[in-house]
Amino acid sequence: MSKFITFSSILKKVVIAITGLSLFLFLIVHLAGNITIFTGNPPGQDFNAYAHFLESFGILFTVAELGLLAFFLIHISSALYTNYENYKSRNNRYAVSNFAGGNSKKTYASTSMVITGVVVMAFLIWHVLQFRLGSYYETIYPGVNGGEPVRDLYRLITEEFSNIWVVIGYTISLLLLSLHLGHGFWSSFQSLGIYGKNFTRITYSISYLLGTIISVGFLIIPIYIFFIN
Amino acid sequence: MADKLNLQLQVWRQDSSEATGEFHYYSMKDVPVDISFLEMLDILNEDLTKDGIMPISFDSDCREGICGTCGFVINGIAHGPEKKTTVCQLHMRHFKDGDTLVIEPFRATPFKIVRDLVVDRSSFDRIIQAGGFISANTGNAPDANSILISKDQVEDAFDSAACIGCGACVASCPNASGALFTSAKISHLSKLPQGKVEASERVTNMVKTMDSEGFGSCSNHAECEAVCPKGISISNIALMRKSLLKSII
Ligand code: HEM
Ligand code: FES
Repeated sequence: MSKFITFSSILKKVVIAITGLSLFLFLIVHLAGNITIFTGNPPGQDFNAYAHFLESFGILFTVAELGLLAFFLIHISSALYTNYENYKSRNNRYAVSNFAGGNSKKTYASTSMVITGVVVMAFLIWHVLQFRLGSYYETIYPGVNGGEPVRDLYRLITEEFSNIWVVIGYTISLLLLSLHLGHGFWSSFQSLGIYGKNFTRITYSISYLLGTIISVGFLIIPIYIFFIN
Repeated sequence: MADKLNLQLQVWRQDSSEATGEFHYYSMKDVPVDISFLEMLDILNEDLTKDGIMPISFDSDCREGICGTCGFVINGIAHGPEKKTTVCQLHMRHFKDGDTLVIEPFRATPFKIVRDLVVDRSSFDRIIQAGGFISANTGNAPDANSILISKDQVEDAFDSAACIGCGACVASCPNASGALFTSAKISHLSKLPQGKVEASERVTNMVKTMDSEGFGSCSNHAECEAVCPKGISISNIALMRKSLLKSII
């Protein structure tokens, strides 16, 4: 292993925390953008216009996409590697394991980060294939792109989300994401060495709530689209 | 409450580091509630000896919760169910008649099982040797007020210094991380002026040794704080990370 990776357990967690928090921010921006799904007349105009607006940045947009991909790859690879090392740190397993309670923050979410993470990873690959690299429909709106055709992503999402299995797949993945974020949010600050009696108490107490808000926010979309069709 | 308990014990027995261990089952009758967990095992060991069976090996020294020698896992919790309590100070009144107790050694790759419930914690000593000291020759004890330190700062450093090095943090951590122990030993020195001088080398060397001994990394489960007989806070771990980052930048 290279010096960089083996340097210290602490730096690896710093990398996981910085990339994790950045991905968290990305999710918030992504969710905010998705609100346009619910507005616009005819339905879908605002959403398609928003997607077109992002793509109109051209090379900058591609750079942002590649940057995001890099953050994912760094997060995933250091998280998986750290997990492998942690697994090796206990060569004889307990017959009984338990939760001590009290000040412990060990939960089913915190102990299954790697499982929720891998499911989210599979979900993301599916999600990108489904939409970013999915069928390319076009549509024309008078006021958008000077009347030239733009990609009709709205049609694609209505098609995809009219399939109950797709909606179920999204529901499961997003609920697992909420657990990942639930432990991940407060944990990132602790990994970065940012601790304060009140700060840590507050970030911990809102962590699972934030995770749930974000994943339920995303979840509303497939469910909404499924039911309006 | 009954003042005598009947218990079923399921104890990990292992002859040596190389041997494969297994659980042995023992029934205990009329265990007085006022004795400690270790005293309960002493009674069992006397019975085993009378029956010509090798007694169960476990570590203990002070039996007053201050030396950090004792320790094993009871039903999945290091030092058992009571908060801020070592097994030597854990009394049988905290258990119920008819309980089944699964007793296992502290399990972690860097804590080799020596025999039964005894583990080798010398990896902790090597972490201390890497920097858990002040190397300046201080001569005689200085005048008490020659270095002024605020009461809060003293208390804070003392909270970290309360670590008795028992290893329950490692035992309870899903990753077998040594972060709580190492960070407490770093913090209690670096929170005081005498320890600040070497703070940067100390954190680098001690973290390096912690990693090379094979401890896992900390995923912030904070299970360690909950089982720690001295209630050492995970704020020490955050401080260790901050100091390490500072020493790099
Ligand atoms: C939407 C995407 C994701 C976000 C927002 C996210 C966010 C986070 C955050 C904030 C943390 C806490 C970091 C820390 O405690 O220092 C974390 C930890 C972790 N993430 Fe992710 N993550 C995402 C995707 C993934 C994926 C795809 C994996 C795949 C394996 C993964 C695996 C992990 C693991 C294993 C940890 C725990 C590391 C440890 O503490 O040992 N994450 N994540
Ligand atoms: S024997 Fe000393 S702390 Fe338990």
